[in-house]
Order: sequence, then C-alpha cells, then structure tokens
Amino acid sequence: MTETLQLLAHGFSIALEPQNLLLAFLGTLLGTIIGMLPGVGPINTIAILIPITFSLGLSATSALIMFAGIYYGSQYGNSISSILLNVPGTASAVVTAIDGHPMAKQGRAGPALAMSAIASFFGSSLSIVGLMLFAPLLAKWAISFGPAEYFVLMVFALSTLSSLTGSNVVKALVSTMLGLILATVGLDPQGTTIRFTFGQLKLYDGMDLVVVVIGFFAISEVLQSLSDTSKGQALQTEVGRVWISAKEFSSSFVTMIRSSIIGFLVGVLPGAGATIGSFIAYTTEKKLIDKDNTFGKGDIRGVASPEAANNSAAIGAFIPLLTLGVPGSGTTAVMLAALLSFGIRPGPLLLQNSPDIFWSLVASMYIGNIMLLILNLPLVGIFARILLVPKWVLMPLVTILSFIGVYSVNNSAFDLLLMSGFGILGFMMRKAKFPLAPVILGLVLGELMEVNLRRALSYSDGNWLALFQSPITISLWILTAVSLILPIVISRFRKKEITLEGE
Amino acid sequence: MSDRITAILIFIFAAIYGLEAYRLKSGFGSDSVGPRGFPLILAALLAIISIFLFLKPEFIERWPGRNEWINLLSMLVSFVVYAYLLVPIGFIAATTIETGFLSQRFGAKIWQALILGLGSSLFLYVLFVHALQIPLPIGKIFKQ
Repeated sequence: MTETLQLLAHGFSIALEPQNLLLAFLGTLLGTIIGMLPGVGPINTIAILIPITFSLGLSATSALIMFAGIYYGSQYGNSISSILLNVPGTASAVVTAIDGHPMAKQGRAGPALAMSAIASFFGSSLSIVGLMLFAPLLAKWAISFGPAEYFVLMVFALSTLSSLTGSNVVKALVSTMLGLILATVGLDPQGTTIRFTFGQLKLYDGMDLVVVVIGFFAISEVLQSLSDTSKGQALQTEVGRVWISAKEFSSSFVTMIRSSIIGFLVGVLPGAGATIGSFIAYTTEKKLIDKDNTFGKGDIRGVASPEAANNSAAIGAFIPLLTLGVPGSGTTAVMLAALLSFGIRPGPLLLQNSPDIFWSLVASMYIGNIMLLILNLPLVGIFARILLVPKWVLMPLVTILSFIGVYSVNNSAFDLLLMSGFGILGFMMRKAKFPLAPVILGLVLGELMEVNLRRALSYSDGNWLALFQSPITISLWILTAVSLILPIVISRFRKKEITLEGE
Repeated sequence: MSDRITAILIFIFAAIYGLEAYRLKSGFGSDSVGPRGFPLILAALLAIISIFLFLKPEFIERWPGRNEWINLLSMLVSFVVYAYLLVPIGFIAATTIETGFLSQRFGAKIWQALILGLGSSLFLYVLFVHALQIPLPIGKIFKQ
C-alpha cells in the first residue's frame, strides 16, 4: 500500500508540472466541448491531434495525459447536448437523454446538468481508485501470457465489441474483418513480402491509422450530416441554477455507486466501453428501483445512473489498454495507436518498465476530474451556448481540421485522397448500418494479431492446436463463443430494439 | 441497395482478396504461416460472414435520394480538388475556397461563407504554422 502511495506521489509530481497541468486542462476542456457537439467525438479529435502532438515534440506521457483528458472529458460534455437538445453528443450519452431531456422540458435543466456533472465526477473518482488498485494486479497476472494467449485475447476483444456494438452482429463482424484486412496492407510483419499495395509506393508502410480513422469517422460524419435532412431539435437555453438539493443527491447516491461499479466492470472488459456500460447500468437501475414508473419521464436517478456509468467505464477501459495492450473500444484503440506511434508499447511490462507513464496518468485523472467538475458545474451555461453554433460553421471547420490532421501525418496530398475514399466508404457503411468502431479496433489489432499468431505457431512448429492448449486460451475461446451466441439469444427476448453506435 | 447485394459484393471482395493473398510468395526464411496465412484466414471468415448476411438481410429504411447523392458527390469532388490544389496554390487560398464552398453547402449565405472561409483559413494558418510550428503549404505559385 505504501508503495502504491509512493508511486502515486511520484505520478503527481509529474502530472503537476506546468506543461502537463496545462495539457490536462486543454484535454478536459476540449473533451467537454467535442463531447457536447454531436458529430465530433473523441475518436476524431484524438486522431486529428496525433500528428500534431507528434510534431510538437510532446513526450508520450504528456500526450497521453491530454488524450485521456479528451476521452473522459467527453463523457462529461456529452450529457449537455443530451439534456438540452435531446441529441447525444457521443453514443455513450444516448441513455442520458431518456430522462435528462424530459427534465429540461419540465424546466429542470439546471438540476439535470448538475446531477450529470456530479455523477460523472463520482463515477470517475471511484473508477480511478479501481484503476490504481487493479491495473497492477492484472499486469502481474498477464506477464505469463504467451503469443497464443495474446492472439486469443484479441479474438475475444474483437468478438465482444462486434457482438455489443450495433444491433446486427453479422454486420459488426463484417466491419471487424474490414479493419483486419486493411491492417494487412503493406509490408508483412516479417518484412519479407509486400502485400495488397497494388503498386502504390505510399502504401508500403501500410495504411496510416490517422488517415483511415479521420476518413471513416470525421469525413463520413460530415457527409452524413449533409445528408441528414431532419430538422434540429429546439435547444433549451434556459439552464437556470445548476445545482441539486440534498434530497436529490441522497436519492441518487446508491444508484451512483451501483452504476459506477457496473460501468467500471464493463469498461475493464476488452471489447466493451462507455456506451454499453451506461446502457447496462440504466436498465439495471430501471429494474431495481423504478417502482413508481418514473424512469423515462424525467427521473433524476435516470440521469445519475448512465452518467456515473459512462465515466466510470471510460476510466476502466484504460486497464485493458495499458496492462494488456488490448483496447476495448474505438477511442482506446486510437489511443493505443497514438502510444505506439510514440514508441510506447502498452502491456504487462509497461507498469514495470515505465511506471512513470501509468502513475502520472492516474494522477492527472484525479486532477482532470476536479477541473471537469469546475468546468461543468458553474460554467455549463457558457458551454451550452456552443450548441448554438450553426452547422455551416461547425462542419466546414471539422472538415478543414481533418484535412490538416491528415496532411500533417506525411505532408502528403495523396493521403487526402485516401481519406476522402474512406469517408465515402464510412458514409455508405453508416447508411447501411455497419458499425464503424470495429473497423478501427480491427485495424489497430490486425498486425499485433498476425505477429502473435505467427509467433505462437513457430513456437509449436506449425501445430495449430497450440492455440487451444493453455487453460487461459481455452476459457477465452469459450467466452468468445458465448459473446457471439449470446446476442442472438438475447434479441429473442428483447422487446425494444436499441441501437448503439460506436463511441 | 439491399443487404443481399451488399452481401454478394462482400463475398466477391473476399474472393478477390483471398486470391490475391493466395498468390503471395513467402520470402526467404519465412515461418510456416507465411505472409499469406493470416490474410487467407480473414478472406475465408469474411466469405462465411457474407453468406450469413445474405441469408438474414435487414431492412434499410432510407437510402439517400438523387439530390442527396449529387450534394454528396459535389462535396467529394471538392475534397479531391482541394487535395490537388493544396500544394500549388497554398493552404490559405485553397482553404478559403473549400471552407466557403462547404459552408455554403450547409446553408450559409454567400457573404457568410466568404467571411468564414477567409477568417478560418487565416486563423488556422497562423495557429498551426506560427504558433504550433506545424508546416502547411504556402503555395508553389507564391514562391517564384
């Protein structure tokens, strides 16, 4: 315990350096804003910022502090538009709108926003403690993982994400395969064969993740929003006093604890993130405490639950990312790509070899969440005004920032063409209801999977049974099968179809 | 476009990808899986998944109409034009045109689009090139 505290204290000494404090602040501020704006999410933002932070010469630790701030900050901001506009800022605030927007319509926008900020803070804080305690344990356990275990773990992560994202498992699997296939473009991991480049020299190094992600997410979103003919919802600008009564707080207290724990557990699971966490937490609360049938009609506990859960899941998602090197969602996949481009390979050895990165991230999360509480309680009225920015300002700016991000990866205009191509593909996939998050996870994990598969088979002299031999691989295969079969079984019982887009 | 047609297209894609993978030759001293093993597995899995998609298609409510496609196409063309203009005429000019065009597509009036285009391109140029030291093309035509 004292060792943990010592490490944490050291982490604080790094996180409190002026530059890192500033980056944590910028990250959380930016996170709140992009979380709030429908159509701009943490995935696009982090992807655009990867080449920029790189050319700014930031250290991996500093960049991670900022990227993490963007991610958990977006989990605060996304509820603002859910409550005021009935349009979730990111997918993980879909559930918040169910009770949050009715509250705003009844003139209780202030308490809804306050509850959301407090629940977010509550969920994050509990989850950071969890991260601090469980990540080192998991890392210790995962040190014994061989290439076969890693390979199957990644299969499991991809299958859980596929089965939990979107309403159609088959389509999510198509998306996953597309991501994995894109990852095979370029030189093969052994560096002996050039694959699927069609003679394009620029593809020898493979598809650049930033180009693909910005095309798939940002550009397709811009195209989508042009094609979206639905009129915007009326914005509730009368926020009123952003505060909750002691009674409202105490009525939601147990809900917040329960939802934080659910969110944390879901976040830790590779393949599931904040969206699924908030969804499960809300439905659980509804079953447990909705005695007077008030959920869905502006019950403040219906705001507290998903907000505690999605923040807690966002933090929990750092556990598989950092200790196993296997991200569980689109956003953490992009963060993995960012870390890899900084030469940091997350995995069980990260905590041993570079404890600074982990502990300063944990410390920065404590700091960032206090910043967010301040940003989101007294200043929420100012943020809400950002929602008044018209589409004709926002969408061109998103496009141009995407162009700058893509261009600055290699200073290449060819990448802009590639990005546009992925943009139209992403748009068509959105229209045909193929989820996009699995593409990113597949793209990021593809090479690691191939490397581990080939390593496992060369250890076993080409015997494929090596993938099914250890207790860990066998249990992971079973879990994979369950994750693919379960949604089909559940969908038979589910009354109302709720689609979850990638986060 | 229904899911059935998509499924057929995906199957064809999987077949082509699989064939391409099959034709890959292992480099010297390659392991037993070789450079084509993993892609071949992916091709096979994708083909199987596409059959599932064919057997259980989903109903899609709304596919963009003709005007929407024209709208989208015009935006895509503008992206391509931007990619080709960026280096020759430079970031500021290209971005002014592109931002103006896009904002007009999203319903801005001409003068609004112009102000936004010019304002944002100048602001972003100063921000990235001068404040953040990230190079953006100044334009070949201005260099002579």
